[in-house]
Amino acid sequence: MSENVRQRVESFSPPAPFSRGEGGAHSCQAPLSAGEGPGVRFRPAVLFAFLPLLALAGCFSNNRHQGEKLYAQHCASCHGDQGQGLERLIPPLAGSDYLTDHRRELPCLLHNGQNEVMVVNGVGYHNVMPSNKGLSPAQLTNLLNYIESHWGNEAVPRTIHDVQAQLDKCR
Amino acid sequence: MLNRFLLPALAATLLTTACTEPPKTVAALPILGERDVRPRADGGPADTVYAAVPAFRLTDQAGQPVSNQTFAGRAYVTDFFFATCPGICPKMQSELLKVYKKFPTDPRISFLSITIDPDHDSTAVLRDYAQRLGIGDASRWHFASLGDRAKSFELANHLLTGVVPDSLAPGGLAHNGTLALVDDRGYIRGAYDGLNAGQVAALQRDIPVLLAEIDGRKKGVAKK
Ligand code: HEC
Repeated sequence: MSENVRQRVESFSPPAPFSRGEGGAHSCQAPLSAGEGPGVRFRPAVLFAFLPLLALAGCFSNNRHQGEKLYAQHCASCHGDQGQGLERLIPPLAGSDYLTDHRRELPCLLHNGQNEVMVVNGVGYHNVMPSNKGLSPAQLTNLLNYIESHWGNEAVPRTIHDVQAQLDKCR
Repeated sequence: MLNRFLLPALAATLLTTACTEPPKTVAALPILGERDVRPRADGGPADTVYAAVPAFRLTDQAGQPVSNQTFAGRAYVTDFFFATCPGICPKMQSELLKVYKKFPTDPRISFLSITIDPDHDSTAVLRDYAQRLGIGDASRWHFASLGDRAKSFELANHLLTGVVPDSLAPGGLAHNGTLALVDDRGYIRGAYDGLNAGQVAALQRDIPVLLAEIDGRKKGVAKK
């Protein structure tokens, strides 16, 4: 496990100075405090995921390595190596207007999944998007930051704090 | 494993040089599946009898019947999927789509995806799935149902796809992503992991080898 943490620290690139309108200073609180809300159990694995972030002031999660790995593990089989999707069966993540239009709902979408009709870039999809209940808020943050900064997507990085707050609302 | 790749190459050179030989003698791709070794009464070398794909009768997305006869004299690639499969199917189908796009109009080969969730995957569901995948012509790529779950599993096993109901697997069914290449006589000539890009590339290379073999067989028949 300590081996693991060391690798994560190595692959962690220090965050660029960053502030955002919503949240402001609050998003720079230590991420652990964000996890004390209702319904959050801190298993050792979750703590370890936070450790490298704490070590580096923990403003927000920018561990691209983890996001990329999680994507390959949990998402690429459907959405494709390049986020290209699959014809009109599975929507693309690359250049998806859904990512920007529904930014705040994405943590809940990934956590709970869904299978109602969804319109992405003007095309209606109705297929199963599976839930990912095993992914921690930190992992979801890294995953979303990975998706939102690849294949032409350019969004402001998320903080664990924000993602946690959005998750609290969807339960 | 090396042989797999060497043999087709060898076969191709043989085919071009040995025009006078009956092409039947060139065994380019192996025959897979169940086999029965029958000792000969005269003590000579035992005969190996290969099992062809058993008779099936499906209904495809156009509501048309699909059976072994549909593919008589032609090759086809087949796999097992279900429309709502959250696990390996999208990857497997996107790989098969790549192969399909290499032979979109070649009448010598067609494609067959069989649902293992016939209770959900009605003709309408299959039609929607095919259209969403971009397949307009059902006779090029059939998305078909046997109507019966247990029989679908059985047929899957014959075509080298293992399927077992598993409440822990995504979608409730654990299965592997085999793409099976079947020849004009109903023998399985190749099985490829649809999740492995290298194996899918091997399928793409093997199809022309098989098609050449089938062409040879047809010419042989025509000459007689
Ligand atoms: C089993 C296939 C499958 C897997 C695995 C999957 N998704 Fe999806 N995803 C879908 C489908 C299908 C939709 C559209 C949902 C609908 O039609 O209702 C979707 C929709 C989405 C959307 C919103 C629409 C868009 O394209 O922008 C996002 C974001 C998304 N998925 C991200 C992910 C992430 C991240 C993962 C990995 C944790 C993942 N998905 C895993 C099938 C999948």
